[in-house]
Amino acid sequence: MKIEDLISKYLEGETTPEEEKYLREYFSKEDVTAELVHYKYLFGFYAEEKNYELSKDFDNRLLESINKTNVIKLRNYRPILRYSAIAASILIIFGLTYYFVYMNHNEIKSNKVLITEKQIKGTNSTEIQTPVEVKTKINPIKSIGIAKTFTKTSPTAKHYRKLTPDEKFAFTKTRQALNVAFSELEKNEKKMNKISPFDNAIQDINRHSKFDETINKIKSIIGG
Amino acid sequence: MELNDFKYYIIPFKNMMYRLALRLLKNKEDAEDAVQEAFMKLWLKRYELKIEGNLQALAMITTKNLCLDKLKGNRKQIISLDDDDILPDNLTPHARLEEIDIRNRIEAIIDAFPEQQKIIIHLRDIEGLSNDEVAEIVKMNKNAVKVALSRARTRLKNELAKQFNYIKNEN
Repeated sequence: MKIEDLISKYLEGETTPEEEKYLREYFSKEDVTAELVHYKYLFGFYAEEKNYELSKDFDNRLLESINKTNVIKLRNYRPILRYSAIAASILIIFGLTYYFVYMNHNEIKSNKVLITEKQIKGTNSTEIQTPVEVKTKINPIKSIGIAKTFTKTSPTAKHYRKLTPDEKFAFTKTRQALNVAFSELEKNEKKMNKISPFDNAIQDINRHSKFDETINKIKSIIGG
Repeated sequence: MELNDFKYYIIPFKNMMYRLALRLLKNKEDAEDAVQEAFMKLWLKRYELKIEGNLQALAMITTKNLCLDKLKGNRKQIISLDDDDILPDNLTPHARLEEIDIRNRIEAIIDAFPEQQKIIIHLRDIEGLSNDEVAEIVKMNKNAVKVALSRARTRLKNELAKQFNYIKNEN
């Protein structure tokens, strides 16, 4: 392509950057005719304009400014984050401690963990145990009651007797399902909270006279 | 994007940004301040910057907008650029004067362009960007860029030719 054609293409804005690079190179090297000499100056001007650069220490000044924003960030935000993290950790530690310390206490109120019920082999007896070992250390159980007699409705205070820690109870399953209720006795026994009344028909076989016998029987069966 | 990526992907545009700022603000200190400011704007947005995004366009748009805002805000008196430091050293004093004179003439013609044309011809003919790249920076479609570019180039050529004839006739 003749240089004049390339120039008119250039003036129309149709040249590619590569063609323009060629034009710049052409006018930087060649001696051009008087008609085209202004292009020589123009492209020369463009090439020189590209030599303008920021002063050498610009990067340092920029990075300094950037660091200043970081310092401000550190002062304003990071400590908040840090203290939040510390506060959160403390909360978690307290939370977990509370959980482990009081969970057992709370479990007294639930019927899920407190009672472990075990069918004794070869009999229709069921052993029920309160996990008192755990609790006696932290929160001695003084107020657990076990129903002596059960009705379909919730047990009342008079049906309960206090348990000593680490006590095992054995019940014989009758045809009706055996159910046990534990309650937490408040100062006033009447204010007893119902904890784990099972909703089936209940028959208490845990009369005082038979209680020790049953335990002994179970011990002999389990070999304890 | 953290500092290392910022240094690696954004800061390299500094001189391109500087030259655009210089073209628009006509003053080295102002241009340098504008670039610094543009970088700080980009730095504050660093978490939104994606390495795979068009960071060149973003850097140039930020610079352009900042400069146009500055121009709108205060029309400072135009101080001509100090040409001495970018001209080749091997020129005779006479040639040097002539060169400076021609440079000033070209500079003056471009300065008289509307801002958008000025930016387009700067990015295309000085920075050597493509029409696509320019279109993204000036937020025009490709065709409009081409038309504006053609207009600017033709005008520049005509003005320059006129002045050269004038110089010739003067001598």
